[in-house]
Amino acid sequence: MTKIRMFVFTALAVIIALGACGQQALALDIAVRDGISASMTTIDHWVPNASPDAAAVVNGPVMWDSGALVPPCFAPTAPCTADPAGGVNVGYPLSFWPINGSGTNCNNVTLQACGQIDSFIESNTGKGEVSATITIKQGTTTIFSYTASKLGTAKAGEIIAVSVAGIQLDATAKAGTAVITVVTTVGKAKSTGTTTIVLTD
Amino acid sequence: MTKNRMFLFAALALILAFGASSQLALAADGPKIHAVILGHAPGVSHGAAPDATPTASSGITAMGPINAAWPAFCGATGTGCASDPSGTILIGAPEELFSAATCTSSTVACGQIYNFVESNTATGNWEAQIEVKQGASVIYDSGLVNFNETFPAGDIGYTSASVGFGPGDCPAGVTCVAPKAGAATITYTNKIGKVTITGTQTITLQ
Repeated sequence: MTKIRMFVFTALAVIIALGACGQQALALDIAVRDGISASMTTIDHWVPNASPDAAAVVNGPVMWDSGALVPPCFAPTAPCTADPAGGVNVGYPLSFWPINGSGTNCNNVTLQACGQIDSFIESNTGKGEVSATITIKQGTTTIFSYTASKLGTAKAGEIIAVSVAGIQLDATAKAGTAVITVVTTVGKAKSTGTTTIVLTD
Repeated sequence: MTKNRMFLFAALALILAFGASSQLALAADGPKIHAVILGHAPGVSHGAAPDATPTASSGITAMGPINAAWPAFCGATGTGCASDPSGTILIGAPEELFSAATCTSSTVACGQIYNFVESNTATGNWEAQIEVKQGASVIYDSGLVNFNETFPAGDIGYTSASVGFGPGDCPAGVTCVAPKAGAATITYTNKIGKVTITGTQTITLQ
């Protein structure tokens, strides 16, 4: 019985050890393979709300930009403390994106090698954990997809910026329009925003 | 004949006087949209024009706090955000929720609607118009504003207007109604030469 117990405990320890290693390897693999970083930041709404009677979460603009501070910096919070209140620091918004000559189309921008998607959401009564799924499609073909879970927690009445940097489009990406869709979940509320960019040869 | 001449000269003088007054009044009203061409995005090549796609595209349309100095170009040589990385800009934080009760007059603008537009091959005279509607009802209309400026191909442009919603916030010939609680859609139209491009964004008045 003792040998059996020892065997069981040993087996359990091995399983746990392998499991832990497996998780680490998986996380490392995703980080290295994708080179993607996702983050969020929030700030209180600037205009005092009236009694909220609208949707819990409203989606603002989704933008593809040249990359900047990650996530976008709401002034005057750190690190953009010197900027006037009400502003947000972002990269140049881009509507056209070259995909020729770099294979994975990621060698064209100074600040972020592969550009950056920034999405702005405002919670009215919505609050809680924030997650986001970013998808880029050309027609029915998906050329990028990424889910960022548990980015942080938002309070009601905040502006939220979700940012994904280090994007690499799939090799099937071709010249033409591409639609970026960001589905953001704040607590139990969900909101969707889209923007269209043009990929060029 | 002399009397006729005098009459004609007097009429001409009146026409010129009224014409000048009219122009002055228009100028005093001023353009409702501020425009600035940002130039090429640093480090980005546009590539060739893709087939069967627009030659201009609307970047983002948003509404945020009022600041006439935005967009500010950041970096050591920039203004307004010198400590931020070069190649970045400072704009108003996009907001989606506004009060229908306190944003009802053009004399008390409650926010700044802004838009980025980018041309690939499009170039030519640049005009823009902003319209905000709730269903079929117009609550803001800037009218079509001619910047009398040539938009260069491959550049990014930024336009903005400080707005209020309701009667008085429309040009002659367009009736603006008072805003009410609910969704409102901003439509931002840019005309670059012969190319027309629109961007939209939904905000919520409450």
